Amino acid sequence: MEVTLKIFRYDPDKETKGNHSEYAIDVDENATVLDGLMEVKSSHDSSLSFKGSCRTGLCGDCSVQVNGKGTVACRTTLAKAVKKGKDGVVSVDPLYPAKKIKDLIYNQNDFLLEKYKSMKPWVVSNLAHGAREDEVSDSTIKELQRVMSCTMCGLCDQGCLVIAVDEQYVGPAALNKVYRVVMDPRDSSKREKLEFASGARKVWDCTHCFEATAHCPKDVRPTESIFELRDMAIKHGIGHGRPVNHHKSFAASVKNDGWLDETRLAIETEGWFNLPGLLKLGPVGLRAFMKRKAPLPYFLHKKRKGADAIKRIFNKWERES
Amino acid sequence: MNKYAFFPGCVAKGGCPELYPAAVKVANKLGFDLVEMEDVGCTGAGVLSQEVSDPINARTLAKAEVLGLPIMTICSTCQGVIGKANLRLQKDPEYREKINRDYLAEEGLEYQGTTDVKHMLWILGEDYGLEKLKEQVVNPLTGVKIASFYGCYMRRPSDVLQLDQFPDRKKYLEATIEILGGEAVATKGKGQCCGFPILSANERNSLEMCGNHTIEAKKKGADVMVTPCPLCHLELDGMQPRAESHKSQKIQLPVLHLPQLVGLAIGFTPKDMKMERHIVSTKSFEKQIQWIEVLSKNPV
Amino acid sequence: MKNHDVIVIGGGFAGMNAAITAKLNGSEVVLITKQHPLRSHSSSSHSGVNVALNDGDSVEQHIQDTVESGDGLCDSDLVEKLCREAQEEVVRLDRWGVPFSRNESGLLDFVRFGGSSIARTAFAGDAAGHFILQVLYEQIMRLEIPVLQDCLVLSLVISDDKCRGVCYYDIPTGKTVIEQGNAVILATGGANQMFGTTSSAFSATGDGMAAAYRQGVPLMDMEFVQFHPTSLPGTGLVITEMARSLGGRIVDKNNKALSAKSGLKGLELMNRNVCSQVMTQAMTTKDGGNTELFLDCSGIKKDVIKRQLYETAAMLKDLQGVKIAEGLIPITPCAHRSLGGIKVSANGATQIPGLFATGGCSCSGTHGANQLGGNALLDNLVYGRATGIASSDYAASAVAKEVSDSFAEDQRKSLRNLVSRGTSGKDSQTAIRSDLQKVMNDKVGVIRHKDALMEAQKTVESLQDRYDKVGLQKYGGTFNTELCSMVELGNLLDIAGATVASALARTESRGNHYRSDYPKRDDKQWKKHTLVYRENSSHVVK
Repeated sequence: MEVTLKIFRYDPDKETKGNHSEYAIDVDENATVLDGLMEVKSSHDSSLSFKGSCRTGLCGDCSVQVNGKGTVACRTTLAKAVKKGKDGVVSVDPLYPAKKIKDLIYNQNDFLLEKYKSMKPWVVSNLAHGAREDEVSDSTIKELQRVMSCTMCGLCDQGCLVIAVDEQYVGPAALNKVYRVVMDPRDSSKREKLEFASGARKVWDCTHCFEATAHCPKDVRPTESIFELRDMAIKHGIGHGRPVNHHKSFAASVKNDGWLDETRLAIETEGWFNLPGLLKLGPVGLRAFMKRKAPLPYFLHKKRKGADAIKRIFNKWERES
Repeated sequence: MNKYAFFPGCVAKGGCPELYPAAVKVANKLGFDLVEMEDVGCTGAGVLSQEVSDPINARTLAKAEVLGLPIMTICSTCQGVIGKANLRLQKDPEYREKINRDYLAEEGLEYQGTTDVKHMLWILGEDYGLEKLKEQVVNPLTGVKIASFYGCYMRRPSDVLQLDQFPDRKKYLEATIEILGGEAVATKGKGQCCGFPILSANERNSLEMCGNHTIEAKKKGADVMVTPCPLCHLELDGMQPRAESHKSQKIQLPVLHLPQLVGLAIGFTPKDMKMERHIVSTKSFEKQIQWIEVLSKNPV
Repeated sequence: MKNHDVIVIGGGFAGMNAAITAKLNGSEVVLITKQHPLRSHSSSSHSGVNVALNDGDSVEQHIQDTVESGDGLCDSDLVEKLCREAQEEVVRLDRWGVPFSRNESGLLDFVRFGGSSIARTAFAGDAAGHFILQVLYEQIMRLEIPVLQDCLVLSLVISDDKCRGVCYYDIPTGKTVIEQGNAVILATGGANQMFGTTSSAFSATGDGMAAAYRQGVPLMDMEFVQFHPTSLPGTGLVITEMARSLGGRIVDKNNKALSAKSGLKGLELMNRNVCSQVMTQAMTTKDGGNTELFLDCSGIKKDVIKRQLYETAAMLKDLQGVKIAEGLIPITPCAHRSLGGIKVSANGATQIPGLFATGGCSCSGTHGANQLGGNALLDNLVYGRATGIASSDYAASAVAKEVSDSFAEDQRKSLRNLVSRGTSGKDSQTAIRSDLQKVMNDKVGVIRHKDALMEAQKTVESLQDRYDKVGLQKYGGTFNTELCSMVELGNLLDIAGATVASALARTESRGNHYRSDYPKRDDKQWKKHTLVYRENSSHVVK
């Protein structure tokens, strides 16, 4: 099969900006993008640099953008990529939020692996246990396997809309790895991990936009992992400040009235006694009030019909969890 | 006959009080028969734990099932959250039965998994039909450049969108704009997050997103933006002045709810659509459509 | 210059386990790797770990299966240690959070792998390697063991007959530097990139083996290359033994099972060497041509696939566009594991004080002529740990000595020398590499013969001559991967030479070494290990 690859080339020792070069190659029908890069390296230019290791989609090393979309190069066939390429040309670029290093190599460390490490994502095992393995149900193990299938390929972080505006945000890949630890029944550091993950620019900064889940090449569902982390933190009474206030007020409002009381939510998010925070609400509230684009004041918020039934559901859930 | 169990959600009656009447007026004019669900709860909006929001949503779905009607939502977030809950309940009978047993039985309810949940946008695209909508247009928005903004949950996750059955669900907003006579402005941000969910956690990031999206649309020539999600509206309209100071630049992009845009084209006035309630003034856009009207009635 | 207690080279199972153990034993440790540890070849191990915890199993039974699989060449003391310590190692991994699949009582579940008399392999879906690697790396982070990544080992630093550190090429910066330490553990894995069809990652280029070999350390049992029976033709990507364990059958194009032939009952779960040899014979037609074989997984239930073959199923879907349980999947044996390697004692020590080796790059004689499926991972755990402790103890009593930069300067010179040769010639390193892979595939594969091996020997020698003439575009610079692959090719050529020489020497058939000219096992002459030495650029087998 004849294919043309349009590859981003950049040599920081020679130039300040990269550019694209096209290479025509002849490969097998089942060849992957990674095979294609190898072929370019052997038949055109041995100085082409890219990452890749296991070739089977388990090491997470070879993530690149193919036709502008993040993908795992060893699991994407060229035959498929050609169909989506512009004019039948397959373009290959480094993942974009990461700093470019050379050709298709980008800084995986700053972009991904150091953030992962910063979350202290390891199991602290309970050494008091005996000589045999702990009893764990296979369904729990299966769920763990699904979440742990993450190879740190970085595609969810590339898709993350928060990282796009804030490089310091720790990102879905790292947070998923925290969830991997706290969901593990063999771990004894749950509380500590949740407290840490509740800090600034971590779980509460996620917009739950589902980009991470949409970008994951496996079935890891990082967005859902972040939801779980939040729920666990709230259940454990961990965290404070605006996001947690917001979360609690939201729940209380639905619990009591069946629906959301936005005025109360805004005030409680800031905190009833947080004067500077409340004053900041002033201009927004006033602007809205003047335009009558505002919810009813707190004291006028009416219970929905059916609120009692909702409250019963809440109470039951709280009793059970 | 388009008959629906209408689920307006919280914000359409709270933070965006202009949305609810606009949606109802438009639906009535198009001949929808709406049975408003008044005794059901908030979907949880992705804030509440699934463990409690799934039973609440199951209750809503069960009530619609009793009515024998599909649910119509007018909020991307409502649609996404209740849609995802519905998928879980439909796919996993064991889970559904557990929720029925533990939470719904007390009220004599039982969800059997047959309720369909559709956003008004999807209803226009699928049940009502855009061609039919075209026939209703009396004030085409000719020449108006309109940027679409979906709201996350109308784009992801893909299983909730049921794209295999409805492959065009990611295109309805632009298609609707074109049917109404407007010109859809393609932006990178249209399927992204508006920034609203992190307004309390990280205001800077939230305003950055709001600013980026409105500025991008403006740069690409948009006169107005339209969204099917009131939460996006709270952010893109309500926070726009703050985003302006955060970004140190004027933006002034009017943002409309989907029913408002449809309403204007099918003959309602800006006042009918309560557009005076918006934070960012819609006057420039209103003038534009008045001119269109004048011109269309008095061709040069 | 900072002097480390223990330097571990290689971030796969064995290297990380050794590093963790040495650290827990009180040593200061640094891990030097060619790529980030999570990217190691170990990640692609689909199988699992043997541990005799199943009902009806026993350590004795595990020992017996291991010895039988090794075809008369196992060191029984080492096997005993391997099997006795299995429980402790596996339970530790489990406690650190490896999601080993469970049975109905919530305890480890097992599958039966080739050569085992009972279901003994603890598995984690079909991605145990990925999970174990992740968990070991978690512990590396917990113990704050520093990792220097993207470092290509060039040579060992030997002074006063002791190993005092390692000289490596720092790929991101293009600098050749020395890291100094009391003890050095090589855990660089195998060298199967010398074969065209291999399950190994790109990184398996025998860097550690070659570095030790060049220092006069013998390589042991290099002729024993384990061929995995079921890999995808062309790529060598493995369809795990789990598929056969769960009912996958090896069939011809008419869907007739190979095991239907007399004497081949239960072929699917025979030892890997036997299975690969039978398949290779069946794939060779009378006139010397080739015929295809397939794996038929249609008998495996959907929920079983979901639980135990989901990664394999996803790989097949992505790469071949096929559903695992539908139709026939073409298969061929591939070079899977280097059983030979740097000769080490039970605690990983080599003949050079201060130099240790463990995992795929080492050979202690534990597994003899064939390794039982599921024992490889176990070896990495038990002996990785033993090596970690031994190196740590050694480092504690060793006296540090400053190493001169001349070691690095020598390496810089020889790399610059490659540049001075220029790249104008017609030949290239990629052409040499591809010729090497072809000859190793064709002549040093599952079934060997003196004539073919002689031919291979000649070819490898001529490739070495060609290698000595090709050049590089430049030395140094950012991520000069051309230079890296050149160094790796040099390593592969050395290891290929050693492998061919060892294969020629062993004039019998045993385990993974099958000679069609000597089809019988010859205990009289050959119940012993081969040792190959590098002497004046030739490979001498003793």
